Amino acid sequence: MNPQKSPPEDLLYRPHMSFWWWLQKRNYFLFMVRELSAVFVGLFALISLVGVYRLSQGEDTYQLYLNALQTPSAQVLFVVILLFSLYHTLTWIHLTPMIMVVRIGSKTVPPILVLIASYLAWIVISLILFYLLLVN
Amino acid sequence: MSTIKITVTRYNPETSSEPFTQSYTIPYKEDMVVLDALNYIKNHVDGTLTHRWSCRMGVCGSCGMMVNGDAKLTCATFLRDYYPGEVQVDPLAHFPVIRDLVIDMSDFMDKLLEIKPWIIRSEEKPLEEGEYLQSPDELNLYKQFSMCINCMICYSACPVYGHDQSFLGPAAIALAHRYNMDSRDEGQDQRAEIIGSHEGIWECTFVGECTRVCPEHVDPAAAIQRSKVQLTKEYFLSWMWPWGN
Repeated sequence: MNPQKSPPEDLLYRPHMSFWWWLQKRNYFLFMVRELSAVFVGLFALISLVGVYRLSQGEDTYQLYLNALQTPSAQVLFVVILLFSLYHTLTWIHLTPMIMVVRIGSKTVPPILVLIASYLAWIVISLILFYLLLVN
Repeated sequence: MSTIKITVTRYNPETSSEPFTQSYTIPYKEDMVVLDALNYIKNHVDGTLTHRWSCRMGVCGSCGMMVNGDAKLTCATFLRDYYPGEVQVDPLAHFPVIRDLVIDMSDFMDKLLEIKPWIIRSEEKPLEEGEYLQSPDELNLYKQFSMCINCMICYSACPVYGHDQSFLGPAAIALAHRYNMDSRDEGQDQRAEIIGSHEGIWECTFVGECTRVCPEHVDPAAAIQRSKVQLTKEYFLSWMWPWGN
């Protein structure tokens, strides 16, 4: 293989990427919001894990944990977490048909069916969790 | 007569170490593309302007530049979409600039070679046995990824490549995927070493802008994510099924 020859380095101008590149295009900004949303999804998982830990410490400790979740600031935080989690979930569900190519025999399943199946799976799993956590 | 103002980034290493902009007011016609404007400047106003182009019909991939901040094929970008506003033309982002609007593409060309963009056979069958047959379904698995014209517009739109030029990049990975998906090819393992390396698919954070800007409607973002799924699957299979299939 012959590597391609570049002009001498001192004759080239190398541009630098701005720190604010993610504000230059709407799609870049939305990408950053999607990445940021993972932090809030992780935060919710962390809060839930703390809940399990508090539960292991006894009923009184767990009650204190539940009381802390009822404060106005915690409620606002949960609304923010919910919004970011929904954004995270919906954006990834919409990217699923691009990533997953489902083949049945020699035929490819249309991407729209993969999208519908992803939505159905999300709804069904959410309903099961809702039943297990809140109804039961 | 209608006119339009075209502002162009100029760079001449013999006279300055930094680029500068220069504006030209030229006659405007509704059917002019940005490349026509650059050619008009070159032929009638300022012969020192340097830009790269060839086919003028969206096939050769030579005339990719930044037009008002977006990576575009200038032969397929009409001035009327900006008129009566001004048009700013810059060299493709993220690439070293040689002169004016001409970028150094050697990094991309090296990467193209790295992924071995040709059909690899573990053993070639004799010529007298005829061609390797392929069904339309098998063709459809990779056809869109074979439409790439190597214009490098996807690299210009990719912030990952902008941050780290060691990233293999969208077009090279899409082309690797094109050959990996080809039923006649047996070179997946050889390409896996390249695309599965740290500088390969795992660098991609799935911004997806490569797919949005592609003038040929190739979907490099999909190629990269599908390669991630494929390589992950193969890794776990080799772990669970070490004696192979």
